[in-house]
Amino acid sequence: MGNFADSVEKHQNLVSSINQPLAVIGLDKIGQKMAGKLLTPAVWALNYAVNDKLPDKVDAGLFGTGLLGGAAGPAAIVTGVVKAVIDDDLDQKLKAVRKDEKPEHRKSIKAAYHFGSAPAGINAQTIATLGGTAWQHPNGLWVYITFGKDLLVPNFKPQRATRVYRPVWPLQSMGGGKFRFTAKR
Amino acid sequence: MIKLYVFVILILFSTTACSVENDFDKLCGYFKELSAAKNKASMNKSQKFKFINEKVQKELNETSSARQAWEVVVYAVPEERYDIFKSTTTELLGTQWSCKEMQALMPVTGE
Repeated sequence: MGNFADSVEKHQNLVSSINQPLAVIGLDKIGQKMAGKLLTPAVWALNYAVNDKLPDKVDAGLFGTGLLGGAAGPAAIVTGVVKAVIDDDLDQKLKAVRKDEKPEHRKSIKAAYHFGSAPAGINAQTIATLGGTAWQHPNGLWVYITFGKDLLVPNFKPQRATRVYRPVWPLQSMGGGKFRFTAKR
Repeated sequence: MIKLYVFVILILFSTTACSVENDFDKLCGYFKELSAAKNKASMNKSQKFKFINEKVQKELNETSSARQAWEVVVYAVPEERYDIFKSTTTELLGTQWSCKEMQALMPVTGE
């Protein structure tokens, strides 16, 4: 989670592309005290970082102005808090993923969130194009496995997954160091 | 005071948000254009890819998740591309999303 603010900023286009007016802001959104303002963006960011789930349409504006460097003071100062919350949640979910795999594989499983600047589900597909196996655990976290420090594993079969991306076997080169990938188990 | 401040920010942002179209829908629009193209029948897979990709490169920001999803899904098995893209989009937007023109043409767009 080296630079969370930067990562969120890179997703600005998605966040700001929600084509819905923020016409109605509930009193619970406006009338909260500072603690509430700190907590709510953290929850949105958490949903986005871990599950790629955006805040609901009404919340999108707050999410954007608060976390994309806008002038919303209370939300802007929350980045550090958000980072801590997300780090903790990712760690907890990653532990759960690892626990479901064989002991010898556990330490080699990593969160796809860290693989690139795209949302984790897209990073997972990129991993597959590069020859690795990536999967989404039932807890929502996208992960992948490496052999050693960073060698991707093309034919890993996760014990628990709702979705798996991996290169077609035998590998089919698409040029540029990329391979054809599939979502089939 | 804080309430007023937040309210003004929200109003300002809502104006911005309203003016921006969903990039995933924009991409769907490119496939609609391809579907309606008079020379579609004579276009091979590479030409169809070029048709879409030129619009993506020109009109969608590099950091657009829709563009990022497009750029990677073209490496998927052709018959799976739409389902993968739809799944990604639905997950990112947090709501069901579909595009029948993309569903029809994605398997024959790109190698």
